[in-house]
Amino acid sequence: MTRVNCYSYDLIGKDNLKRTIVRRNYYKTFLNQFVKDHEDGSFVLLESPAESYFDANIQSVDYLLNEGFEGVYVSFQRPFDNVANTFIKQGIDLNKILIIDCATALISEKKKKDPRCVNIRSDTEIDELVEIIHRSLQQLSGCKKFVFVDSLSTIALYKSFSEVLKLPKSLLETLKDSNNENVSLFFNIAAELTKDALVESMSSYSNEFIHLGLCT
Amino acid sequence: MDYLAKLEEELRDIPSDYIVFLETSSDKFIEVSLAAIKLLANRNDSGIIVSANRPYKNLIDFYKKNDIDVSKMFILDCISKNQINTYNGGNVVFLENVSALTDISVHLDERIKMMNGSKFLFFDSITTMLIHNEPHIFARFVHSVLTKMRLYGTGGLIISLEDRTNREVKAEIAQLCDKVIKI
Repeated sequence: MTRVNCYSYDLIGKDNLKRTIVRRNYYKTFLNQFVKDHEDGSFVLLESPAESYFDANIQSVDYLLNEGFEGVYVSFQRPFDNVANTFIKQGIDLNKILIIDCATALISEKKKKDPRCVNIRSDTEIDELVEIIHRSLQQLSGCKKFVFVDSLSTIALYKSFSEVLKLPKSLLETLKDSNNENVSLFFNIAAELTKDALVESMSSYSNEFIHLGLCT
Repeated sequence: MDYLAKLEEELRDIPSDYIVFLETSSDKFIEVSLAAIKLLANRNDSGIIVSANRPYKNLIDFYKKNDIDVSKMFILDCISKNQINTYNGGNVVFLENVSALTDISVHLDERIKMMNGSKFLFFDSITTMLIHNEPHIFARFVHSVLTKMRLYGTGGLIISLEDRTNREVKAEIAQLCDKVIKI
């Protein structure tokens, strides 16, 4: 787990982004490449345009599940019901995914009881969250696993920059210590929000940094 | 240009609980905003309007003049309180000012829970609200409100002025929405 790949969606061109087919093909193309290159687990930073941000998440998760992965979706952006219903509408099999509902916890609202939903307390610290992610991964039975974090920029609304950075760092360390280095990690950020400092800091976990764009 | 038709076209197939981010230019702002509220009022049983641009009375007169059914609307007026004698009641609450985000959030929360049937929330506008709030704090407020809206199945529309809204906050809010439209 020694790479950071930064995929820049905004270079695809705004007109193209409006065309769903082009967009979805793009996701599939990059994910195909990703799966071929990183079967042993990887650390991926996804930059996607704000206007098609959730679509990018759905397509990425859908593709990974179709490729035989099982995963943990850490949702800071949306509450469990909203994520789960959208996944179901897109034909995503919820039995292969656990959703950690951080969004509801952030606003201290009543928690949802669902076997696919992992609730956390509103005062959960990053270290505890990492432990919850780790425990959730252990509940999944598949060989190929992923963690998808949605999103670092939303966490940054509630936590300091150093706390935000602690999440990928602690997660990497925890997975390494428990011999789970084959788990692939995805961190999504809206393109306009990508802070150079954040990308630079995350690249420190890697041997290689790749920035991809399709068009000018 | 018929902005209502344009909006209807853009939002034709989206569910009523979708949250839409609508960006427009200052020269079209009033017409687009009016078209948006007409559309939301036609599609829903009730709605909440967070007004940072027009005082309650002016807003209601404006809507009535444009054949919008105001009986189904509840207004959170964030600008009149310190300027005229105001009293809460009927379909309005006067809030201290646009920076009173906690108050706005509490009243939104109460109203969203009270309303039955299909309901909407309309922010008019985040550009004005951002003049009076720290971008980071405001983005957190919007995330909190939008999460509550999703928990209670409330759709909504957030209107913003192109080029005059903090780029990063706009991106943060846009990614929290289900659809982004530019008119």
